[in-house]
Amino acid sequence: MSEQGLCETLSGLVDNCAATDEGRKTLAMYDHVVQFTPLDGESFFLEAQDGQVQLRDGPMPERPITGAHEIKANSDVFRQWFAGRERMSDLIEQGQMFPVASHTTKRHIDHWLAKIVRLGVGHKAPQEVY
Amino acid sequence: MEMSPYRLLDLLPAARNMMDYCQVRRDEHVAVFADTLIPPVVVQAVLAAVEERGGLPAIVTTQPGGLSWRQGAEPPRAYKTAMYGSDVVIQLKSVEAQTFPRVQETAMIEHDVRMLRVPLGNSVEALTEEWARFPFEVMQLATRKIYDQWTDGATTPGDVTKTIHVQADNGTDLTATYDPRYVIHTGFLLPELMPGQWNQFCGATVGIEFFKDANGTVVFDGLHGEEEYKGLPPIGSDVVHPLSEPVRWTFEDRRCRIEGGYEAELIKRLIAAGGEYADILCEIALGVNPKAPLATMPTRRSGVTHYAVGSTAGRTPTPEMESAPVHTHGHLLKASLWIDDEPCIENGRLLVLDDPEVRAAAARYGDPDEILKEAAF
Repeated sequence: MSEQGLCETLSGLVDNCAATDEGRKTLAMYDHVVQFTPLDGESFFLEAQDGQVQLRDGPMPERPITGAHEIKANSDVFRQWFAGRERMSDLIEQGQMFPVASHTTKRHIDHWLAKIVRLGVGHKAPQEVY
Repeated sequence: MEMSPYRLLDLLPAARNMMDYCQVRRDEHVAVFADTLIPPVVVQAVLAAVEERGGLPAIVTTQPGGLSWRQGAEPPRAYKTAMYGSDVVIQLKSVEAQTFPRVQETAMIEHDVRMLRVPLGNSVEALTEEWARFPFEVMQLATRKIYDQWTDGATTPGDVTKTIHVQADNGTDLTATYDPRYVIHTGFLLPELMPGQWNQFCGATVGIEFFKDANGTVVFDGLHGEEEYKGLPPIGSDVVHPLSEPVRWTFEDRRCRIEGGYEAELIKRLIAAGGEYADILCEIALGVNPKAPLATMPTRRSGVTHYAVGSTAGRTPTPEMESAPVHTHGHLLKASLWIDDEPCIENGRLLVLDDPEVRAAAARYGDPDEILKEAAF
């Protein structure tokens, strides 16, 4: 899968998310721009505004950090995450994924992205299981 | 266990304030994790406050103490299940240490959990003191204003560099440069605590955990935050104050040289075991609560600045750049601090506490002069 494929894959997860009430509510949680920077490939970014989320190839335009975030990882790490085979928090802990922010600054956005991916791949949360 | 002289009603104001800090809402599932050194009356007060808000509380009793953030371990499945399945987790802890940090991260990032950490320092009395009633709204606003000052001009992507300068009468004169994307704020960024976030009752800190450069000297009044410090006077506390003689950290190109008495020798031993990056400046931070007790929570106290060498790898900021299995702290009670020549602390006074908006917010809870005045050390 190329980097173009990663952008398309995440776009597909966002589409899956938008197909459910909880997913739409999740997509609308924040207005934010997030650049995904493969360390071995080309960047792409997600832009969310009023619940509308779009994915685009290329680097994001420079923005104040209050509304922007960047996550770095190898392409294969992003691929594993978007396939639902790995969790974002584990990849960060294992030193395979690097949010470019302190460990407190963008936690809510990291959670938001993790939830978009989780809902997109169809995994349930413990709150839904018990 | 000692019997507590405090009654439920003595503790309810602080317990209700905890609900403001983690914003418990009706029908939310709230897991209260309390270690066995937390007196039952504290747990009862927190449960009562959760129920007042319409939340659905459950208690999980744990072993006291805990693992520091740098140690990896897995808790029992029941522990994880309770944490992952809750909307809000309130941790009542007899020591300030992150317990099973990996599980906490999974709960918050993957499972929508909001978390409040309540370090009590083995003292119920702490919950009857003024610091425990400091209003969330005031804390959040003050913290956000400091964060905005420390990150002003930062962009993503970006390569902005800012300068922090600390000076004190005891010989401290330290200048460091940093990437403002690595400013921390301990969960008070937004007026509402969001899933994925945690905050600390009642003590925000704002700091920096990654530096481009650091030169100069910081002279400490006290140390904190290491298990090994519990063997130093006062025995049993991880807060060491006063010191037998000042501990001096002198930085050259971020690398630290340590001087002082036997406390300094202990720090040298910790760093010697920490590998290539253990002597690098990795934190400058300040506290925001003007009433935080120095004996148990020096880092939360407004005007007190604290410093660390090593790294924060394992807590996620910059593991790709530098990693060290140590994060060793000291603190300075009264300094002046500037960000890019703009004052933030003047001779121990955290200037944001005099900000008109912060004073107006405090006025909604009482006399702002009293609320925002620092308690005596």
